[in-house]
Amino acid sequence: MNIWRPTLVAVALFLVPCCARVTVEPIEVKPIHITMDINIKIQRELEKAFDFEKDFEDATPADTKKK
Amino acid sequence: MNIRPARTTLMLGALALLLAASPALARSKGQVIGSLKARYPAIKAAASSGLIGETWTGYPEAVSAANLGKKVTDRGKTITVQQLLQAEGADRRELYQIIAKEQNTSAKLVAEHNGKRKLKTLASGEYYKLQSGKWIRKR
Repeated sequence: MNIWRPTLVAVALFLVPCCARVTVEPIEVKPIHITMDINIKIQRELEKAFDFEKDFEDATPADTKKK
Repeated sequence: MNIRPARTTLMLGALALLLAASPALARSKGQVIGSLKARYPAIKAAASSGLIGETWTGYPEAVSAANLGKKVTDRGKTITVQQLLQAEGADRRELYQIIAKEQNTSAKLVAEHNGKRKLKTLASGEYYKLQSGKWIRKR
């Protein structure tokens, strides 16, 4: 009787991992929606609207800029 | 009996004025930017000479009240600093409103963003008015 108990435990321990079944469910890939910060959007719009300022700076000769 | 034709004339006159003013109110974003671009050399010259400065509100102002009556040249036309600021302010207000409508936000927020942007792009010798009301000059 003393031998049976550890043997049964050992057998049980051996069989449990063998019986374990791992099922992998298909992963649902959802589209990622990035909510852009409104402040970034405003800054971008302003940069675009006032882009002509850069053109003016580029067109201004270097010696005039220093004054 | 004589009042009725006068009233009709007045109403027609008001309608004509409204129709004449409507294209100016309904300017496109590109048209407003074009107007700002055309005035930019005059704005830049006035800012470089210290007559006007950019502010945190997004609208340029005269650095000193005494500058308002001073003469500047805008596209070959001599105008006062006050006239230049009024025209620039009206265009900017319109642009801020257009951007605000596009982004579903307030024109005030857009204007203040531009105020911050202007501080970054400030050239040497130009003035900037802080929220505290203090004018600073970039070295």
